[in-house]
Amino acid sequence: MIRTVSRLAVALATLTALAAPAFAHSTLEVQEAAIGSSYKAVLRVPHGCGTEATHTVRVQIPEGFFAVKPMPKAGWDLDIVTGPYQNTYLNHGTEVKEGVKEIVWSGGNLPNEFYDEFVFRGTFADTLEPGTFYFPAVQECANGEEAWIDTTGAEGVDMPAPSLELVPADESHAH
Amino acid sequence: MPSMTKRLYGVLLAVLLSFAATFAAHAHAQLLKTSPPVNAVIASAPTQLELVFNEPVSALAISLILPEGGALDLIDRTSSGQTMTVLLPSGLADGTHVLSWRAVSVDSHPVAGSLVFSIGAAGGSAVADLPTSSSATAPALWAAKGLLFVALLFGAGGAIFALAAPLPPRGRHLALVLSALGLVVAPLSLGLQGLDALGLAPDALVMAQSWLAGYSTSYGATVAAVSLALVLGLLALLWPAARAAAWLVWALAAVALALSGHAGAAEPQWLTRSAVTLHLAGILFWVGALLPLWLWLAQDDDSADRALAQFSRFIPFAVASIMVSGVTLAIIQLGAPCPAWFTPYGLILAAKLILLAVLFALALINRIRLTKLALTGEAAARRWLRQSIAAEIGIVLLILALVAGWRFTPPPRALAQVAQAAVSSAPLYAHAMDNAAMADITIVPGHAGPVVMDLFLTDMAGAALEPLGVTVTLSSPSLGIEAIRVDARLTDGVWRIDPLTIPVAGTWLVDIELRLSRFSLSHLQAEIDVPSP
Repeated sequence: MIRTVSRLAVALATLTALAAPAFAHSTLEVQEAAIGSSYKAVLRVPHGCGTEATHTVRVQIPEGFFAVKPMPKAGWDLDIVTGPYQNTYLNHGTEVKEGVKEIVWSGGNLPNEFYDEFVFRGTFADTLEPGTFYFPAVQECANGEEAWIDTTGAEGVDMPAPSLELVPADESHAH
Repeated sequence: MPSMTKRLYGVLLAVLLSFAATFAAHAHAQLLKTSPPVNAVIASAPTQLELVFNEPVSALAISLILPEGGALDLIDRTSSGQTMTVLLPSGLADGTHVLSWRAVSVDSHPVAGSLVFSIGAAGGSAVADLPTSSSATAPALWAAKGLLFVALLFGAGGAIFALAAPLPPRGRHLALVLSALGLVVAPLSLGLQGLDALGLAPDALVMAQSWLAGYSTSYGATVAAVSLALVLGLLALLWPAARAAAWLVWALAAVALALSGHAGAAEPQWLTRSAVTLHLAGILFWVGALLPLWLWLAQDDDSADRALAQFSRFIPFAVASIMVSGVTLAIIQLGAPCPAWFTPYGLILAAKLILLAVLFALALINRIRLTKLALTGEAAARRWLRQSIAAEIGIVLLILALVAGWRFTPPPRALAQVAQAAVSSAPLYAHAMDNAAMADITIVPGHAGPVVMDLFLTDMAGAALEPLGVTVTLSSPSLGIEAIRVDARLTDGVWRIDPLTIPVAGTWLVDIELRLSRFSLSHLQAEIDVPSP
């Protein structure tokens, strides 16, 4: 009886260790998307800068992600920065040459003890190659910032940019 | 048994799963502040170091790199939690220390770093300190060491010779008196050594600090071993049943002098320390035999003959070991022929060699001509032999007085290191680049210790680059020191880190993180060989 319980406890512990995802880096909730499909990006912000509260979150939209719409957040001001795209994309039959390049949620207050998610939608262009796609993001606090902008993809970097894997269209399940 | 195998598989599975779990996790705590602050210079050694994080951590590896180059493992003295407290040992030397720490946060991703602080004054890996002593302490120390050598070689040496042949009654008494004298002088020499190390006058002998300082040097180990050897020698002399203890005396006394002093400190350690031990072992036998033989030869009887015959039988081994080890040590200490041979060290060595030549000549005459004649009972030969031995005793005393002075003269090997250090203070240069930016790195002065690092950044075309910020991370995996991370400040078009302390000489990896814009980061890396100061 005791043996079974202890084995169960060990199994549960290891399962939760595996299942519990990274909780101190800023990451995306869904880490895979199909090329050419639309994607709802949920940027998770698990802590502030050291012990300070975050008041601004900025996300850079790299080339290849278009038709971007951020989700407003109560208590935060939402701004977008538009600019020209390098390529032209087709959005439901209409040609788009420019769009959102940066999303800024500002004027908020997310204490270090709390967690929040920042959401935006967009579409991945057909012309993208499979691989890692990064959304560099910066959290700004009263006396500092957390810059999740390392896009080298190296193991064990301090501040990796939130990323996902782009897979070819036929392989993925979602659309 | 099935249940055992199942259990084993269960454990194996758990271990494998836990490895998998570590790949998935990637969280890290952040260091908020430290006490003392980074690069602080503190007047006296602190009792503890504190590292404050933003979440609780457990220490994985904590080591303190010392200014003289060793490392202390302090993991057992570290308490974990949101504040990691490391209790420091007492008796830390002056200079720059590095606490290289590695911890893991609750979410199991390790964080690491290095805390650099200095006690007294900032200084990188120490070079052999040329001793500065007060004018009264030096002669006192010299005399004490000379007396100690005499007491050890003639006193304990007597007990050692007793292993080969019985001692004459007067010889036994003399050996006892000399051993007792040695036991009195040994601790005194320790106190004087401490005075010398601290640069104080003899009247400071009353301060406990001098004794502690003496004990904390390598000489403390020598005195401990010598005292033990003398005590055992006394026992061996007093009780015939304890005669065999003299073997232990021989071993202890030979090793004792290898524990400190210039000779045993040279590289390669295995060679020099064993050479010094062999040298002393041979000397102990030879010198220990001189007084008993001199006394025996005054009388014409079987015990005298026996002593002489035994000495004659074993002395070749002793002389051989003395010569081989002596030559080895002289070669290592002197190095290649150079002007440094004419330093005080070299002159003392020259004087010692001349005296040794005379000694060996006498010994040779004794062996070839006089010993055989004396053994056959010829009175004249015995007289000559006795006088020759008396002369040998005199020369040995002179040599001992000379070598006690080596304490005050650094060997050419050490002087060469000081000369090399003067050359190495020229600035260090390195270049780092990736496909978008280049950095020219200058470190002044060009050796370990407090330095100023300048970075000149350009793009690939050579135009000046203006990043938003520059952060430099210094790490040395080969030295086992975790990363030291500092921000650079823009001054006159050059990014400068001042002050920066490179704690130890060696190969350092410099990682320059350029914040090119709000959203883009670039890393440039270079490897720099930093010599010692």
